[in-house]
Amino acid sequence: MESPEKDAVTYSVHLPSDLEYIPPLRQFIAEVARVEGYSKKFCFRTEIIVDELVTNGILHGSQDVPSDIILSAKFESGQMHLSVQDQGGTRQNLENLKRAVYSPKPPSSDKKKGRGLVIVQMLSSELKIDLGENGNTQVHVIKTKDPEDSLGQREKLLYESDI
Amino acid sequence: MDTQIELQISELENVSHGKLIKFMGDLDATNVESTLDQVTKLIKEGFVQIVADFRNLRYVNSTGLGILLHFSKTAKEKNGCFKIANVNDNVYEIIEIIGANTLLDIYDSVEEAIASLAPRR
Repeated sequence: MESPEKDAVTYSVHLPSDLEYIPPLRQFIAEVARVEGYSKKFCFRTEIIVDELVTNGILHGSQDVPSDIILSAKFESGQMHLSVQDQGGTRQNLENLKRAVYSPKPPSSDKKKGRGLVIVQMLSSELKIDLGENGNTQVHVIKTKDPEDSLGQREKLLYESDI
Repeated sequence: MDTQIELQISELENVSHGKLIKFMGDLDATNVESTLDQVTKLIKEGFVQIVADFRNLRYVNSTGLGILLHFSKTAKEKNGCFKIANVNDNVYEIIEIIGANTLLDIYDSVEEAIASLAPRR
């Protein structure tokens, strides 16, 4: 008998545009994924996605304005829905983000930055970049659980024995 | 508060201008600057044959990868190299996504990486 599906919980976090907040945030969202039954691989990829989107929002979306980054995450029906908003949205910022995703430059040793969204795109099922009603930049990601992303029975037992 | 990253640096026996660097922890935007400073200092001191042991590097993001590519380029410009060993699957996936596996010298073990270096004359 299948157990009834739990109501999805949306986690919403407002954080100052400061890189120091990213490690605990990304680890928290990855831990939520783990508790929701996603595999270690899925959780690691989630950690990277959160990191890259929030880093991007802080470095490029909040350059001129001391503002918050807003992240929301929901795990539902085998999918993670993630949304990151910054408040420095301009048409130029949006164009830059789209260029980074859809026209990435080839790998090079000369660039220290600018690859984060390419990684996010490769690890996600869907990636959408918008300007919100308030002029803020919004990045939405959906990541669908692959068959190998389900927590295996052995992994589940090991995890349960940890708690 | 930075994410924990620790670099343990030691001599490479029988290798001129060689150093072994063990990366331990997470390499991300909060600690790239300190990592950059430490490794750049070594390269400036003439240690240009470097093997980086990633056995205990749990995590790297795109910013961290950017400085690894920078180390490789800088060492090569000085007729040296920056070789990486013991990369875990998660970190390798990120390296591969941005195509950095074609730019970095990656080995299965520290021993293999050291064996590929020019011996001390």
